[in-house]
Amino acid sequence: MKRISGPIGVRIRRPAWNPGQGGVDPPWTEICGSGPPLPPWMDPRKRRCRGAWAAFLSVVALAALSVSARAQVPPPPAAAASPDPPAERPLAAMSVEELASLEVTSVSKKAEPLLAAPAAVYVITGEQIRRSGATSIPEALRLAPGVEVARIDAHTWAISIRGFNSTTANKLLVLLDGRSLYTPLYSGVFWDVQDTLLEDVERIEVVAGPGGTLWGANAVNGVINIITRSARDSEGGFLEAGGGDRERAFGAARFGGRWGDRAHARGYVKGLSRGANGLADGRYTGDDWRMAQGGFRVDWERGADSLTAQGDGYSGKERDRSTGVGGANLMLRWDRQLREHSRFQLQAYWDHTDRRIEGTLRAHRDTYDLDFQHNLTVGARHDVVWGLGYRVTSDDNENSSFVAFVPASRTDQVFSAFAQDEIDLWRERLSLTVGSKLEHNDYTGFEVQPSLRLAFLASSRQTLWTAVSRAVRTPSRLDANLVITAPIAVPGAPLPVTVVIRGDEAIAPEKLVAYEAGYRVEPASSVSVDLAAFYNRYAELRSTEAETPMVVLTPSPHTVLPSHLANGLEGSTHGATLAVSWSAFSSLTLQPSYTYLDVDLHARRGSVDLGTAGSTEGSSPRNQWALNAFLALPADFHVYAGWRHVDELAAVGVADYSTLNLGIGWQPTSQLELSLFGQNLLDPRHREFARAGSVELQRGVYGKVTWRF
Amino acid sequence: MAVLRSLRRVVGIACLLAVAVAAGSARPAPSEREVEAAFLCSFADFVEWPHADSDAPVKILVLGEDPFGRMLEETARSRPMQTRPIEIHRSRRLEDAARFQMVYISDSERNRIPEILDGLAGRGILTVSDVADFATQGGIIGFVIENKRVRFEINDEAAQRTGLHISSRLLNLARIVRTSPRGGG
Repeated sequence: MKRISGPIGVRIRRPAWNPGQGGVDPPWTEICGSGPPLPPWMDPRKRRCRGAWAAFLSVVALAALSVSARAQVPPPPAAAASPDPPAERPLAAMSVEELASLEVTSVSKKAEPLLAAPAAVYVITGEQIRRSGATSIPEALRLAPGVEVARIDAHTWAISIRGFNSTTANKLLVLLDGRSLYTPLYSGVFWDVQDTLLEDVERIEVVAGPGGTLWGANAVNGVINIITRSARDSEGGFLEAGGGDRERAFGAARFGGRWGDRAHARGYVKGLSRGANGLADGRYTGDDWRMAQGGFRVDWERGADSLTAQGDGYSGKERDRSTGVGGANLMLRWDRQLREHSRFQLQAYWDHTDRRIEGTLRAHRDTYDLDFQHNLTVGARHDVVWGLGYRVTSDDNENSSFVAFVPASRTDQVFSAFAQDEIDLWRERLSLTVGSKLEHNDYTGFEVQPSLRLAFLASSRQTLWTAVSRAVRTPSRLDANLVITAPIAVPGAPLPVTVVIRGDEAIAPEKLVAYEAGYRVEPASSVSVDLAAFYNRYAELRSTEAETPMVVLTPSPHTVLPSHLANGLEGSTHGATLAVSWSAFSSLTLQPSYTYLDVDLHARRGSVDLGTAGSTEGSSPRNQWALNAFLALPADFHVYAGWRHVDELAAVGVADYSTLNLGIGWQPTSQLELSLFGQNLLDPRHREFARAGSVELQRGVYGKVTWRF
Repeated sequence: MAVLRSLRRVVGIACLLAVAVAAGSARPAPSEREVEAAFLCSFADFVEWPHADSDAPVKILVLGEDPFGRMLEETARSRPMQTRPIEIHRSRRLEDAARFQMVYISDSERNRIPEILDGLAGRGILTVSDVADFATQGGIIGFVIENKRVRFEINDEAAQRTGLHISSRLLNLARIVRTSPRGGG
């Protein structure tokens, strides 16, 4: 594989390996509010959730009191158009008008053929994002088959792949132009701060399945690569403004230009204000969200060298100011072609993030990352990529009486090396990709993440592939250093009750061995069918272990229900995704998909897990159906429809639901576009991950004017 | 729920149809390069060169790394009888370009477009390329990909300046652009 954007040994290249085109770009991280680094059920900062949590905690407390330490309570948990060729005539015999209407296969000159990738890879194009009306990266991810995207409020999402979803989901690696977006605080992503100018997103590559061999720890269940366009491909001006009821108001401006003979540069600013969603009875919830962000990218090329510099800065907050976020990042990348089939890339970035959750936590973090990678072919049969990486990340937390990280500040380093060889076993039809990452982290020392992938190109239009890989999730600050102290109300209890949850410095990494297989076929130029199945075996998953309750006399007498994080769970998941893309007519593309998932976890012998297994099993849908349709109409109208059905989430009390987004755009001139979008149209309100009695997502409508010049 | 069930059915049918269509027809879409090659040869029929002999072959030069392989020759060979014959040549040297009617500038030369265009200015040569923003840099026809289709931009001012007349039929298919000041053409 080439390290790509994908973690896979896939042939998708990491952005930087597409010199000149689609390099990497800067993103932004933004702010997200909701997922505090705590198990979501413990988050006290939002009144709207507090009732449910208090109830839950009471149950835990009562159970613990009556059954001693053996409480087994359910706890918390934490496409476009394609005209047929006009007959089988040679192209040379076609008129220029016919040629101009022909759809062509290789749209990007440097794209690697996805068809041959030995992994479950899906690509969301920038065009699809813009047609769908997605106003955020999480919403755009709904366009990829099999991604569990569950929205909670105006700026909070739970996102995962192949199970284990939660607001603190921790098994995905997410990258924006090569910059890691997950926080070492809890190994998850604060989705509310992950943003960029969507107009300049070239594509998002979603890889389901482990990518640890290339990408390292945390690429356990999948990798998401967000890739922005090279500054060379974004010359000119772009202005956008819009608003509606939920997406109250937003605007963006970008200007890109040439800078001398060899360089291109662009800069952008954007801002948004989203309205609160409210409770089922209409009462106000404080999830209104405002963000402002700006950034730049410069791409310079000379002969065999290309340099990219990019950076972003952002700031955001909830209206009631209970959550505030900010951050900035800067990246430099140098790419050099050494010989025809040999190139290296050196990349360095700095990323600063700041998150304040009133009364709960304030966390600052700085990360510095250095990454080297070299792709080369050796002989006629070996496509090799190897690389070295170093990352240092340090945080500084202002603890509260409720949530604390002990110690409050910590600096951790990660050293890594990887190598992978894609071997042509037989006539470029059968290829074996073998490789491993070796990584050293400050929590658990050395970790190895090998993988073996086999791909067979049965014809030029169909591929069979299979893979076995190992991945680990190394401990985060939360796993090792968290201390939660939560007084709870227990009616009838003789003394006040406090729940305490502690992390454990000795906690081990979570481990996965994944077995995957897939079949991909393009039976006609207008159709592609992708079937991918997996069986994952997990060991040493994180659990919350109950300890014996005790009575503490200071400062005043109260009962303490202690527990700690440990590696008490194991189990397996299996499932499959069928994704079809069909350009039914020259102007209509349909993309139906179906994903099945079964999660089966249990506590290991000796574990007194407080229900994490059950809550994890019930937090991801067993069945997901989706249908995205992109229609181009005469007179430059475009229509988008996105429908999905998601099964119930028993652990969070969310019933199965269907929802529909619609969009219509009209481009009266090549510069001006007017569009109108409706979101969540089937019901006035519904819940996707929030518990009963808390915030519900409302139907929304917004309009937008776009001017490109 | 009824909506849901019906949508499920729609999805199911769509899947079945997709598979059926898949099984039925298998005609590969042409590659971007093949279509560009076909366009390149067609351009000969829509451009009038100054003092040209309309029966002589149109000579096309591919300047830089050739991205077409045998495609250009095959396209040239299978052109309809009544059209002008075409000769394909390849070179990496700009000095060779002067005697051609049409020069295709390969992506390998993208860093010296201004230099090449200066060298070819005023010689009545139709310049074509798929380098980004070729036509706004002062080139005459630049290929672009739009909605998965190969389209082109034409800088008609640049064409007229060098003495070429481009047929309105071709201009109608193109996006007409001018040399942009920052393009340095």
